[in-house]
Amino acid sequence: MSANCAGCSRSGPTAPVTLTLTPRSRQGTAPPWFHVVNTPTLPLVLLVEGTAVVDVDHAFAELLRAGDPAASAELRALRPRTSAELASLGPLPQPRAISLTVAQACNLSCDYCYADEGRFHAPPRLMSRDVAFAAVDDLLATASPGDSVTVGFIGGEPFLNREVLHATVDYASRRASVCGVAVGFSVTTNATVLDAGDVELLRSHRFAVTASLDGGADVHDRHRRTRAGGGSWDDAIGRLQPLLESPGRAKVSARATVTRDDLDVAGRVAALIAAGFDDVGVSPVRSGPDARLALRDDDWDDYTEAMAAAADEDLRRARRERTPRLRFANLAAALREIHRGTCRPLPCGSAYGYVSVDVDGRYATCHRTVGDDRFKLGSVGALDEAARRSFLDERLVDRQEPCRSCWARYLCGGGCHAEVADVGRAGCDYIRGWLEHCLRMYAVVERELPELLATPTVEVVG
Amino acid sequence: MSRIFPRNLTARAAYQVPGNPPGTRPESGVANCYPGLEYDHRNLDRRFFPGLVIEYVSQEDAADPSAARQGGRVVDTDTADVALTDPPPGFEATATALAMAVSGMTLSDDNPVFLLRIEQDGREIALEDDLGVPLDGLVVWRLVRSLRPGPVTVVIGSRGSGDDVKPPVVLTGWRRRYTDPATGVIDLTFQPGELSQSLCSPWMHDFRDCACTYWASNHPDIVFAEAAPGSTPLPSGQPDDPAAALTRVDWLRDRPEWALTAEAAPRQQDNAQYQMSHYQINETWEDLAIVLEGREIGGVYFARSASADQAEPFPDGEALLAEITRLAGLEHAVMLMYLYAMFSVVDSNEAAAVPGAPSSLAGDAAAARHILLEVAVGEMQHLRWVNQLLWALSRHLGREYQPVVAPPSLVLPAVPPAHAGTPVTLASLDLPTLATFVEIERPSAYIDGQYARVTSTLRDPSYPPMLHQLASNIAQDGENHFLEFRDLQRVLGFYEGTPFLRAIRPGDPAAADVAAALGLYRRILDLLAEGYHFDDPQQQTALGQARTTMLELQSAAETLAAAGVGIPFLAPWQPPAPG
Repeated sequence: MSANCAGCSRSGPTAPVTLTLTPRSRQGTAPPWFHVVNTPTLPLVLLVEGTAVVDVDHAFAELLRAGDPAASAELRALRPRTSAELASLGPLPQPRAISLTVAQACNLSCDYCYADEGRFHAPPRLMSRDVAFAAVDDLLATASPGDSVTVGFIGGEPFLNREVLHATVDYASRRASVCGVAVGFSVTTNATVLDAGDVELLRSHRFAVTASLDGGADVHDRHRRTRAGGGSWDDAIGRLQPLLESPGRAKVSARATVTRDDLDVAGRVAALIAAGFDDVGVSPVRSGPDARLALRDDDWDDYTEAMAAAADEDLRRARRERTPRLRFANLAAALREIHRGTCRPLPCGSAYGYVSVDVDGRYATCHRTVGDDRFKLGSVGALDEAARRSFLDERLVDRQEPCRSCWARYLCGGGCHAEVADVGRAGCDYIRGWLEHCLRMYAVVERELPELLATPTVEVVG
Repeated sequence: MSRIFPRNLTARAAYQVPGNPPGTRPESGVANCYPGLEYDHRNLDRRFFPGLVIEYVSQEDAADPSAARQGGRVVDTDTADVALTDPPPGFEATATALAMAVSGMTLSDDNPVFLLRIEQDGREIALEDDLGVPLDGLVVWRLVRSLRPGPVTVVIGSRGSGDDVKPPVVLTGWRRRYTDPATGVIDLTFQPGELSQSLCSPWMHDFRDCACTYWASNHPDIVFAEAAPGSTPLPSGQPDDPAAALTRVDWLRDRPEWALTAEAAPRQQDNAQYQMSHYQINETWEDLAIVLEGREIGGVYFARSASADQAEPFPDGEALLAEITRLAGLEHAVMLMYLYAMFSVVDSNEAAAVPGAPSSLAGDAAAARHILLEVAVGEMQHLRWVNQLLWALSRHLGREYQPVVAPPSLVLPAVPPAHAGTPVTLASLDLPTLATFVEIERPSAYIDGQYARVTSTLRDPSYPPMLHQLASNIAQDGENHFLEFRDLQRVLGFYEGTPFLRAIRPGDPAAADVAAALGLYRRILDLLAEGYHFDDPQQQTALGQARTTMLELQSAAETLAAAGVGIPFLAPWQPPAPG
């Protein structure tokens, strides 16, 4: 699910793996249309198409498991959406979110970085003001008054191109105001070069700030090192402190990258909450320059357990609070999506409502695929609509195997495009195990702490 | 009890709550846009511009019209407007300036303030005509409705001239979105009751006086009365007492003066004299019955059974197709039974001639003939619907459609199905035969029980939704047939013997007049088979000819029956008798 994209672990392309594309046939075995999960209370049934969640009594669950036709008929009567609605794309919306790779350069040299330590396999470069402004113009050109758009900044380390970043925020705000369009911003940063002016910029705009931090000081410094070889934790936390204490209009979150040498998710989350973050997400390394750091097939069970433990701990923490809230972003997102019945034939907004721009003004399907010809989508002023459509069309989850035979397909969407292209689909059992755990937690939360599900949230892509 | 409980938002939205169908919800209302029955549309536009409350004053119906009073009058300013305190993204600065401007305004009755001009997207909307006469409030309202959400500038001010007239004020703001684009929730600025404040109150007044009956989908007008306590309801919730089940009454009836079961007249105005007065409505509207599924509910409501949808679905389309083909034969067979029985009942002339017959005989015999014909025609309609099912299902399965009109089934399926069936026989309408008819049409038995698996199968979203509806219609029709026959049992059970019957017996198929009638019957079937090729408009001709031939057959059958001969409809389908 989209939470898996949160923070996108930075690991680089390896040998490409061809996508398995399976045209859906009417004659084939029918894909699973429901999934039964035991919970601490009543068994819960997920109706796959439409992501409707119902609970049933134990006897009925047994009938469903045994394939009783009358029980399935009774359940079938509830199906809120049909596969026909999910099997094709329909008209593509214009992107409402872009990320500008303002700096294809980085001051750190994290050893798991997907982006070649921020350089995307090319000499370090910065985006010019002209390219950034043109991309903003492109975004606003198709927006109507009342629409909301998001301009994201990504790298490398985006604040290495401070001047263009500040100027673009100013430019986008002014242009959006003229157009009657609401603009929000996002930035993913290592925080080690933030200065007072940057903090003020973030505070004074609707900014979703994602700090790449892996856990406590020791954990963090293990892989997130400066080019000179030193740790980066103290610098990052020191510079973020003023923003954490007084965020203004910004929403600050931390995203940790989990490497196979330390699968303690709960520990990382707890350390980052202790550091002052109210929103902490994690993402595992699936591929990267150092194969020793990427999770392997036999790691996924442990990782699933680690995620479940972190989720349980987060709910325990929430229960102790006067105003309960979830801080483990992966859990919060999963519960929110289960509650809303998010049902997606694609894993994320990549190439759909969201595209990325590289330093030269070329569009890519997302920030992870910048500079990769397999994912190019034209350039600013000429977004390649045909490429977008064919890219998405062949990635609809119902056209992939093993996805189309998986009960979790419309919650997962088929996995990160960039990772699937690089290393294929790994860890599907983890996705299913994690979703089952979240469904079990949903059964409890929906009854006992429904306020955790009702919190309105502003989602900012990028 | 249902074993499935919706938990997340999509499941709750998809869950069909027992009770009234979706067409009865407020959002399905087909009421006028104003004053309407759900809400008055004009009230949304009272607050189109944040911080201002505007009434659209019309002089169309005024006793003493005055152009000076008409137009969009600013009746209030609202600095607590949520749009000003929590503006939508992009309008923060505008909201701050607007709040300041609005908070400094004073309004008085002596010098009313009106909307003078509106501007959006560089286009100006003048709110007066070429002669400078202010537009009527309803016209202003329509112009305001034409605004799109987004930036808007308005000019407001007093009219006329003089020392106490202040200069017009230009306000820059935006046309409010009335509902949240993400959640659909009505803007929080609207106060409880504000959207419905100008409706008839209570709305039953409107209903009583309008008498147009077109909005009754979500407001009861003609209803079935509550089932008597202790009666056994049918699966649909109808009482099994035919009188209570089939008699419609006026929901607004003045109860003490009008018996609960008195049938409502077809025209609303004919019922008006028996309805509650306006004063009574004000006093006792809360006592009016809750209506669920068309029936007044006084006590505990039991949800309509979903049993039809819980039957075991067929494993595949082919099995479904075979079952529907079989059902076509069944519909055909029972239709023949009912028709044969109908011709066995005396007509009104014969009834008058029956020695010693009570005066009610003519009317009761006519009722019996009417009911039998109505139900038989219902079965004919089913045969057509079954063919429509077959046609659509064949297309869905990519197969060629072949109309299925004949032969009729020669065996009635047993209930429960483990037993052997009984042969179809044609008989006069004596009481045992009528009892068989009641059993045939009894809910969950011969006919609608057969359809349960069909509807259950067609519930699957992979089938076109129309098919499920069609099959459900056939199945539900059976319940009314059952009640009609039960009613007939009540009527005919009053008689000793069978004075309502002609003495008829099946004719000899070889006899010339019988053979001619059978020829007509066969011709009808051939014409129907030709006409049921739905794709071809030419086939309507065949259906038209079939109808004409049916009238010929009816006439021939009456003649034969008067002579004591029933048409042996089954003869063409039965093996010749030995010897």
